[in-house]
Amino acid sequence: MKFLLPLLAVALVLVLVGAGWNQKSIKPEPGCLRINLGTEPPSLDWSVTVDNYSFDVIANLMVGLTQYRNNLTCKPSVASSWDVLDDGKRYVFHLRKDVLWSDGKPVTAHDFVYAWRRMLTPATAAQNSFLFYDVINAYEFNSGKLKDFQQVGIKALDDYTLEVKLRRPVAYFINITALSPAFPLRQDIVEGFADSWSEPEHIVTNGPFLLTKWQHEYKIELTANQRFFEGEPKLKKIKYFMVPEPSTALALYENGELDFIDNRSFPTPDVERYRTSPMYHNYPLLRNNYVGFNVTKKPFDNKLVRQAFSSAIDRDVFPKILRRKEFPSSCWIPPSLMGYDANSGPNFDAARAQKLLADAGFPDGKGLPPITLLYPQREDVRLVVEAMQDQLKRNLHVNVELINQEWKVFLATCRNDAPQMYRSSWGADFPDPETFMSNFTSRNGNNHTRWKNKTYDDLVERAGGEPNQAKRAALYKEADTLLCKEESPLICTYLASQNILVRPWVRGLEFNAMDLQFFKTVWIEDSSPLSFRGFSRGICRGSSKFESIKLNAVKSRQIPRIARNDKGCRISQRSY
Amino acid sequence: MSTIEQLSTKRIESGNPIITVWRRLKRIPTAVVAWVIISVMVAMAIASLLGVPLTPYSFDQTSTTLLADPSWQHLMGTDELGRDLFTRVIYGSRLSISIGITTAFVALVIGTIYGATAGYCEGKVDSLLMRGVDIAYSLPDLLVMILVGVLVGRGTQGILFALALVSWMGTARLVRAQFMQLKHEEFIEAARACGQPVFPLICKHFLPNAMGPIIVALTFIVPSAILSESTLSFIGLGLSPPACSWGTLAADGWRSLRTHPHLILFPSLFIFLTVLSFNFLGDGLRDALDPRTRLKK
Repeated sequence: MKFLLPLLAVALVLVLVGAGWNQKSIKPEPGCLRINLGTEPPSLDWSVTVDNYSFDVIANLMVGLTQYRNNLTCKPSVASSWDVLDDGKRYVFHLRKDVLWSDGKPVTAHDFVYAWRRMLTPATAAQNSFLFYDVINAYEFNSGKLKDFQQVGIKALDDYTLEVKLRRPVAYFINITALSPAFPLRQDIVEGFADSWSEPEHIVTNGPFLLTKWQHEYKIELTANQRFFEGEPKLKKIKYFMVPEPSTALALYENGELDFIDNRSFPTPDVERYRTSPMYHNYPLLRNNYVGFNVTKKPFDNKLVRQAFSSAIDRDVFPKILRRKEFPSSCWIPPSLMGYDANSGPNFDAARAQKLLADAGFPDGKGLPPITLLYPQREDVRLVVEAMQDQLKRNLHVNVELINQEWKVFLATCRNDAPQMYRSSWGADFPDPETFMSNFTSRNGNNHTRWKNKTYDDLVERAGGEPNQAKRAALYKEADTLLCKEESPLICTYLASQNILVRPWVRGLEFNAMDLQFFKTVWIEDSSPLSFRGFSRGICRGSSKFESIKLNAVKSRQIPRIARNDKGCRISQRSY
Repeated sequence: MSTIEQLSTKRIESGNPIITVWRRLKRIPTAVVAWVIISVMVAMAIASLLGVPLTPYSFDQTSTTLLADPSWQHLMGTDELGRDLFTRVIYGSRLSISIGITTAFVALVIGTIYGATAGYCEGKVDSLLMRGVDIAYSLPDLLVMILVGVLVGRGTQGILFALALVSWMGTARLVRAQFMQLKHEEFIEAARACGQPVFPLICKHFLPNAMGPIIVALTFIVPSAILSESTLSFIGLGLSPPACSWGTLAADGWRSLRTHPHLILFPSLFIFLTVLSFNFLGDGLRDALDPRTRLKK
């Protein structure tokens, strides 16, 4: 034990010296934004990827026909304009001629047709293909019933004109054209390099940044695209690091090695320390968290058991545990979207839950098979599922076993055969209830609950094509009640918020409720002395309340028959 | 540490070797303190296993007092879900201590038998057995533990089995080396010349003389098993929540190091105390067991 003392002394000196160094080195890397992605993106193939890690990178690599503004409306992008014909059932997009791929070739309408064909081909197994089911024959082609792609309603009229025919007018179609599965693809690249086409040495993109380096499990580097048609972005470089452990990422931020971190890199307890810091920002997200039941597995094939579990959860504890201004919610549609009603979901009622479980034939949980809940390995998720486990034990006398898996494995498990219960979340693809509701229709590839309900499918189908806003909202509300209260293939828990720490030299950063992290407007101010005051108010912007998420979902110019929704979809007055 | 002179007092010798060792051990203060601490920990673990309520809370009982600092109501404070940390530390001792001790015991039994066979037989048997150990050694511990974890299943049995499987090789090598060294000692040759059969020869002459280094090695297996268990739990192959061990408590607690240091302080303090105590006890036992100190008198 004698060597211990000198060892301690040396360690102490090292710590002190280290602390001294830290003070000096916090400064930006000129022209470079350093952020933490948190994990290796499963794929950068934008036609098939479904997770937001991949999408965060893709959003800065690619642009589609349209592009989101930060207020979540869509603006022209590759398509300079479009005509809406036949009462909203036919779209003709006029493409810009100056949009170039990174190898210098122009982006043409054929690239879009190829991307959509590949995405809808059954063998590609793209989970997001359901987004395009409003296109004529898209579902038939995707499900293999139709072999001839010519009959699908997308066609290149010439090199720069693209025509899309829909089977019904849908309010949100223009939003879908801004999503990653709708981005164009180069047939020669994808087919020439097969599985490795999305590696930096092969990939060809058209967005503000280029993928120049991908060191797997370590770092992705993007550099400014000088050919980008809106002009070269101010940032020279973006470095996405893949530090999975939030505490490590926070330490890197504090040491000045990262410029920007969000929830993925922000340990729950540390939010407390930064609550009053001008570097801290909190804003609400259109992201609903839930625990799904696999309804093909016992005991959750029984509706009463599912209802009992859902009624036994007191959602109010989640914001207290996570302490990041989460919004407890027992229904699936978020408060800022049409059709929201706090009463669509079940209220917390332990006595009723016990009665439901007894009615299902399991009084006091007796006779239930062992129940497992699968969750991805993340600190905040663990806290939430542990809290639920405890509530189920206390309120329903049911023991649930928790199992965690690494992110990619978790996604694969849910896709192949989800366990009895699994924890997941859904972030809006576009600011419309459709993006949430379509998740649980029987045809949807993301519906891991295997729950199939004809009434629900019909309601969502009718709501999607309903031109009258009030009627549409009512239909969604009815579907939401059916989903959360009556059939309950899922337990809705809370709406997430985004928590950000950003260094003052990062300028021009804007936040939005869909958590789209576009960095083409960002620049690094590395010369002048920094003042926090101007920065916190003026430069970073975003909504601050769940009910007042600012969105103008649909503009009448785009869809003639559907009424304007200028009020920003404010539905609820419930204070938060 | 204690010196041989300290031990060579008249009253400690007795006919029963266990009593002799105990009396010798009592003369070493650090070993006594370590013995007391280990006894308390083990008693705590056993009490928790038998369901004796040492605190008014249950280990998985959440409350609304989240992340409370240590107070009279919650001796070690509460965690992120409002669970009493003291209760969880006691509950955690059950797994950590039992894993440490069981692993050491299994390593002792398997390692000694294996090493004794190799060391005593020498020649072809020895090289065959030792190549087996070399192969087992060359497999990465973590890989073996993950594979076993997947095969046996999650939870305590899986962890115990996996840890036992990777921890006996060191003991086997040690015992073999001791045996080979002892084999050519004069007292062994004398015993053999007197016609002592093999089994009593091993039990009476080899083992007591080889025991010192073995015990010291075992005291290192205990803490390393406690730490390996926390690694397994950390990568998701060990315990599933809300069950906890000191390892998982520390792993969860270190995230809050900056804001709520009590969450990592107490579990690590218990790990630290246990590991240190086992080391001191091992040191003391080595001195107390060494037959050479007895001869010197």
